[in-house]
Amino acid sequence: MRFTIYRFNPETDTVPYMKEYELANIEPGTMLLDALLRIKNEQDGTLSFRHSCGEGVCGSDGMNVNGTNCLACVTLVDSLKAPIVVRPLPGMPVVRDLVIDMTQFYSQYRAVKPWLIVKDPIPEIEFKQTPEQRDKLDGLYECILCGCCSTACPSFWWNPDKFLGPAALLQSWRFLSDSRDQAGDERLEALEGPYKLFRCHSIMNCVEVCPKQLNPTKAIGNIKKLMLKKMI
Amino acid sequence: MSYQAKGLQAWFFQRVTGVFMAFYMVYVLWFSLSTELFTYQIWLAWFSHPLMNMATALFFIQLVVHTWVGMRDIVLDYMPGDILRFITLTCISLFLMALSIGMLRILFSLSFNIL
Repeated sequence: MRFTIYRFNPETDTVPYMKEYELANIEPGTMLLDALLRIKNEQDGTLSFRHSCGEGVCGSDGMNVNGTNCLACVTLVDSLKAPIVVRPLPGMPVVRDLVIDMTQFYSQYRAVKPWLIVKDPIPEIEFKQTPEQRDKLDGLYECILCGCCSTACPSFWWNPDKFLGPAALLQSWRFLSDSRDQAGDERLEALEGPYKLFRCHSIMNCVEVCPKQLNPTKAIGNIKKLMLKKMI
Repeated sequence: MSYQAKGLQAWFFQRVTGVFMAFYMVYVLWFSLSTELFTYQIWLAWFSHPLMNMATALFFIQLVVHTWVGMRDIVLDYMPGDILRFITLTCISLFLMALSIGMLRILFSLSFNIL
């Protein structure tokens, strides 16, 4: 099977280029990450990409494969059309080959204060939640910050420094809907303005590519509805 | 750079004006198609009616608001740089203001049947 992989080493290359590799004897059930590791180990040790857990938990190996963002470790090679074109996640600065600089992504994540803010005295033992209150966090807390959604979002490509992006906004809604958090008004206030939240036009690229099947568009819609409710 | 009707208000106006304009256009289409012999006199009487006149004035005001929010979205999304955005938004707002003045002048004339 043929692979076309994006290559760029800022120390030696002036422009990026695509390099072709041929991989034989791919067993059924092989994941893309395994194929890339084989290419690295058997053919080209200079090929760089991030990976860690290898089972869709750490979110390290997000990449653009045949035009769609995905995690290489949970993408079956059999499900991809050859030649398999592998590029780094789009719209982000490339450090080397498939490794991107996630600084912007993380700074947007930090901007939504992804932690519980409690103004009352903290309980001595634990915060209590009803099962219903806990259920509201399902579909939100599972985000692994792989960056597949934000880097698939045109609004994030156009205003990466101003629009928070689907991953950060999903986390914003995760804390807004948490019964233990007491900074809802401040969180909503911080999202006001034309850029941070309202650059989302609900095109749902984020939903399509999320490897954890989460729905950032719905979370963003919920934030807008909550803002509207507070306004009225 | 500050923009009027920032995030939530702009998003809300866009939807409310969209719904109003959809109803208005369906009504205008229905009336126009269901009236036999749709003459100039019938059109003039219809649009000179105070309710229709007011609804039409509201339609154009909302059209301007809807267009402003939509165009602002396009500019903020596609245009790089605050200076270019500011110049484009100023041109769009001037054009929309001229359009609104023209439309209100026509409607005002219609309400007095002097066209």
